[in-house]
Amino acid sequence: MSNKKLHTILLVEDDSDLLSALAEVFIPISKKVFTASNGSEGIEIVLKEEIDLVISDVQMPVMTGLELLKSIRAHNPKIPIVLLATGHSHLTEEMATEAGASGLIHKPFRLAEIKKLAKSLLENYDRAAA
Amino acid sequence: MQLIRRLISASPKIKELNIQTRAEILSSLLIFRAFAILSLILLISLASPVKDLWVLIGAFGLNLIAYFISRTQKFTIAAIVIIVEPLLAVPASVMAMHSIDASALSGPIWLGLGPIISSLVLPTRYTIATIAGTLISFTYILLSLPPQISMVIVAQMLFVLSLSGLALIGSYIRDKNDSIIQEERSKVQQVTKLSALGEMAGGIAHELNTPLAAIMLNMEIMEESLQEKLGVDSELEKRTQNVMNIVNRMSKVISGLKTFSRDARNDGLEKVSLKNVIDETVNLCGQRFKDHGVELRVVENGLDIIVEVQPVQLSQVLLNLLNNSFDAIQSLPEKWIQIERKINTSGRVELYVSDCGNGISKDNINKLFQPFFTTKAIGKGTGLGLSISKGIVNSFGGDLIYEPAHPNTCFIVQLPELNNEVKKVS
Repeated sequence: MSNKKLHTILLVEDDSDLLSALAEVFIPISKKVFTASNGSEGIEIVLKEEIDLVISDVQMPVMTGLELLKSIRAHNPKIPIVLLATGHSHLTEEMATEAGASGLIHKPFRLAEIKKLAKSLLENYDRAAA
Repeated sequence: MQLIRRLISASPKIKELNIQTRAEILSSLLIFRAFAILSLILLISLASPVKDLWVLIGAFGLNLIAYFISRTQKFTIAAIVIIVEPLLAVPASVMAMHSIDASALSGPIWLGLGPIISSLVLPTRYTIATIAGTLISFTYILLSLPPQISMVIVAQMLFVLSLSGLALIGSYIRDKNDSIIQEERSKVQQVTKLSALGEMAGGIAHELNTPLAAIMLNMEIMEESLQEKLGVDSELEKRTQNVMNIVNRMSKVISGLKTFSRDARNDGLEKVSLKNVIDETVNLCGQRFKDHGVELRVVENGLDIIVEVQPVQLSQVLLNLLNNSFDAIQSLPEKWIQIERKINTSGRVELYVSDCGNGISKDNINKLFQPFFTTKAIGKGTGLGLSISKGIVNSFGGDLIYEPAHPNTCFIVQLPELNNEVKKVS
């Protein structure tokens, strides 16, 4: 564990209950966890900080997850971005990949599922950077 | 002029008017007639020595009463006054037996107006009652008058009868139109209700899946931290798993609602496993069927048939057939519904949905797929399910048919064949 690189993660979710639960999951296994409650807060953090992974809700006020994805991709094509979709968004895996997402998880999801996806994306990201 | 214009525009669609406009039209007519009678009274009293004018004065009074009642929008009471009024001609004719009086002769003139007023504003049954009242009065007058003036009354009677006939036809056509309009409107309302329900379901799906995700995550975090502190505990694991299962079930119901909220008409066709579509649909309604004592059988033949459809839409078709069966067999002692997938000899994929019902009556078979045809109670069925379903299956290049040869009730969803796409389920 100790030789493993710790990462900085950005969580974007407008539901504060889910956001704080997600933060609790990732804080013990990350270098730093940033949280934002919509896309535009998210993009500010991405521009200021060095983020290794973004996990973002799709349907949010002010700026949606897909808009956030687009604006991050505009200046950083590599950073892994996971989208959290609710049923209503009708978002499929292919649509998400086409839009530039690295992964898609449907709510509600299992703890193991999101951890596993985050881990594999971060490993790939480290390997590509090395 | 304004009154005439209003009458012309109002008469064909009385129920379309709001109650206030109807009251206005009726009261304008009544006050118009009251003044007509008043001028008759004045004319008669100028022309001849005043004698027995009280019948006309009574008619004038009744018109005024009906006028004020119609202002309060109590149409039934106003109608009774209008119907009673021609009977005033009866005492007029009794008087005429003793002395031929102007008021007795003028009585029948206003009689013909009753049916016309009724036909313009009131339902047909009131018009019929008014005509009946008019006829009774005329007959009585005819029988009681001396023969020398009978011909005048007969001529008046024929004139009034022809007017009444016209009024009745007009009134009948109007009522018929009204009922057609009413029916069309309720159909539109049903469709609007359905689409509103779909939209609402979409909103609920979005609002509930996020808190469900939070519940699930919190539960798992709690489990992890308690296991860390207390060690592995089977009771804790079991309870956590229970919560997970419940959350999953809720989420499945929500994704089912979502299925209906989604407008998938413009989606392309996808190759999917028919078994998966069946399983997902059964997941949606299985619990409800079980709770109501309905056995839902899915016949497993080990075939994984791949079909090219819009899975969400196909699931909607299947769910609709299942719900129809569910409603139809409620009163039967033994309740079962069966789903079976097959490939027929010509290579078509067939999905059989049958239930323990006794089939559909010959009269109804031809109407089954007509929009808005339903045998369910008012408010229970829209009569749209089968016609929409058939449209959906047709859009996949298939068909939805009723199987009359089946011993029970059976519908078949036929889908086009897909070569070499059939494989055994492992």
